[in-house]
Amino acid sequence: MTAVRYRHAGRLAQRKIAGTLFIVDPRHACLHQPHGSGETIWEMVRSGNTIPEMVEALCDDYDVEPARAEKDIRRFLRELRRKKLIEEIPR
Amino acid sequence: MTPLSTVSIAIGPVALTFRSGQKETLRQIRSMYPSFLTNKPVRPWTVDLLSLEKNRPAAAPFFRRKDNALKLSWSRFDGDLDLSRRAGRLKIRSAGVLGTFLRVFLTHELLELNGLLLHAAGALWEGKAAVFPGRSGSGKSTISRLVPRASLLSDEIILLYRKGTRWMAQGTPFTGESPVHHNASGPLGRLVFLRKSARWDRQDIERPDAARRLLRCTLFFGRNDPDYARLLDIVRRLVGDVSASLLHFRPDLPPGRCLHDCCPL
Repeated sequence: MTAVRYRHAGRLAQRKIAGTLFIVDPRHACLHQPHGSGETIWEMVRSGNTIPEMVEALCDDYDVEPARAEKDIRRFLRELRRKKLIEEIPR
Repeated sequence: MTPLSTVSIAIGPVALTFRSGQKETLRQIRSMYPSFLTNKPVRPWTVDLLSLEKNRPAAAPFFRRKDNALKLSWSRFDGDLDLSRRAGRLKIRSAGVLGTFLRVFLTHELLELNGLLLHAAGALWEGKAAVFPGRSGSGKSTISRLVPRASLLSDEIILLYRKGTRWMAQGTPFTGESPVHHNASGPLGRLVFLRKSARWDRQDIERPDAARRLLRCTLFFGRNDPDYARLLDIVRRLVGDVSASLLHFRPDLPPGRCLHDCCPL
């Protein structure tokens, strides 16, 4: 079974300002600023990582249990999907 | 064919020449922007004013660019400009809508000039400009009342742009509670974000915090992500070049002190 991968929505404007990521959705002129692990997940979406790959990376970076990491990652991805900032890559 | 008359205005680095066969429309423009009239506009945009037959469907104002075509649209105006000719036409119901048109147009044109339009009060002192960005209710009008009238650039909207290696703050004709504004500019000394408080205190803030606060006060009417990306680049440069502070302030000054005592640049 092919793992789900996501990508950033095509219309977003993104820049790092003094090390902090700023994302603007032109449709609603909304500003988003993922922090910490949220920014890490955002970058891994950009890289095309699957959820298992994200879990492995976050466990290494943040010393967290895999089950907890997966739960947090899925919750964050749901939020990003709800805001239409990411979309699933068709398989 | 009715001969066309013209009136030109300049707000900082941006100049427009309006042409119309309706002399009353041009008279209204002159009365609305007396401090910003100019006989020698520099590289002006030439905008032919035409009549809008009827109001369009209600929608937020915006600009959209595609190749050399710039569309500026609102329920009360409809503009089509050619970027290569710096000219075009604008359909309006009355001269009263030009304030909104100018704000929309400026936010586009300033992308090319490394600038932006801010909800902000601004004042000149010590040879520099202090700019107080803030959304409605943040205290811009209150701070403006503490500034000598002759020093006030605007209590509502300030234009910032990069001139050479310096950032300039320019007064605009767009005002809030105070009718006072000046067609004047000065090198930007500091961005001062406001917080109503029981005391006076100023603390410097980090660039990401300044950028976040600035973006929330920036007027922008673009619809495309490349335009927003350009805006983010401008903000990144601005917060990298100019100091930013958070000013806790009261509606009244400490005895014997003026605003620039409480907020030196």
